[in-house]
Amino acid sequence: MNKLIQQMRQDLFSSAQYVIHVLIVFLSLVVAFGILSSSRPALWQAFLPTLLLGLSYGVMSLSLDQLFREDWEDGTLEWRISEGMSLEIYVFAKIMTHWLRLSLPLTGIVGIISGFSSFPLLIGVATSTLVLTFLGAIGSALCLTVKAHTSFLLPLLTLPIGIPMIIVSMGAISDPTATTLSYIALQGGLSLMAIALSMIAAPFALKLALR
Amino acid sequence: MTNVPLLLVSDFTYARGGRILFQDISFSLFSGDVIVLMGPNGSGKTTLLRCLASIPEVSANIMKSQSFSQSYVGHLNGLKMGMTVQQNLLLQSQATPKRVRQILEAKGLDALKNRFISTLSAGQRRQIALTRLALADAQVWLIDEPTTHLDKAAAKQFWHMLAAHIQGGGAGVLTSHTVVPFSQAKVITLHE
Repeated sequence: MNKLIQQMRQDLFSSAQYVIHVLIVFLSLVVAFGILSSSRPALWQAFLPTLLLGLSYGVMSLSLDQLFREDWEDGTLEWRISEGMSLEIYVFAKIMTHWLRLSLPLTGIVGIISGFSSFPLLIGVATSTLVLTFLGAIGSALCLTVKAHTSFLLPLLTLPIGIPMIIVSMGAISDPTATTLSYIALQGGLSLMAIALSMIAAPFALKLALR
Repeated sequence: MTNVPLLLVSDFTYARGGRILFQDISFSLFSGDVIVLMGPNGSGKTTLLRCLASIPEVSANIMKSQSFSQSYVGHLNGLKMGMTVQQNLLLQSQATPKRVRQILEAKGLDALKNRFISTLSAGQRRQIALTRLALADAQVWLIDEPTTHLDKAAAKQFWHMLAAHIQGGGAGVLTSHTVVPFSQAKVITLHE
């Protein structure tokens, strides 16, 4: 437990600059879309939740390349494993810190932009990015031994398996007849599936990379 | 020296990508031993050291005693570039701020305490990585080419540190391309 907390603390307070870059990219894209649709405020209002969800998903998937790569390149991953940390704990700590430091600010920003008017939107951003981070961890671990940076390869790998989550989240936002609870239950179920799958596959992929 | 080895390697063979890196390696490491793995590039020195550190996977051919504890410094130093020297050393689970301060002072590195790793030279980074060994209180040190990037004075300081560790009942396994200044070191040569 101590090792998990220590790893999470290390990750939370390192690479703050990178988190700021991702948030700036997200905000720039939202502003760009806002300027483009300034002549049609009704369209902007209707389109905004979908845009925010899609962009959150997009910037999160672009950031996943960095999940294990820094530790891999500076030798921290090897060092951690030699210190007796299990790969499962390491993977879980990395995923949770990545999600906490990127997705929570994103959800906050989405909330501010949308005026905290849509609870399903906030839940959608938080859970879809959680699922994406867990699923993306598998791809990120698999791509570690690829010499070139894989920022654009990873979204291609993770997007197909993340599509059900996007569909459910979009449904929660746009379907006024559905109860919020049913969508939250669906999103929770998908999140649990992603966690279970990732906690088996990502440590195994890292083990292969470390060989 | 005790009769129970800290580490017992028996008939250890390792293959990667269909190629056998080394075959039937056997040795034992006792308290007070220094083992140096030597050999040409690509002979598997680093891989063997990583196997001893259980980094790729735990092998049945490598047995460790119940009291075995290890500290590993690989070819990459395992230091976070965006953190200061002190913050990096505090990542070691046994480290406390007081202990870190004491060790840095003892090694004459206290001036680097608040410097970011990214601002240090390769030799200074290596010194900090080696300082971690002293913080760990581990019985066995596993070090990949310890004196890479070090100047003569820093290398000498490392050998003194290792000698003190051995005298204190510790043991070490190192990889090296050159002869190490350790008369009691056992050399295992790997062939390509």
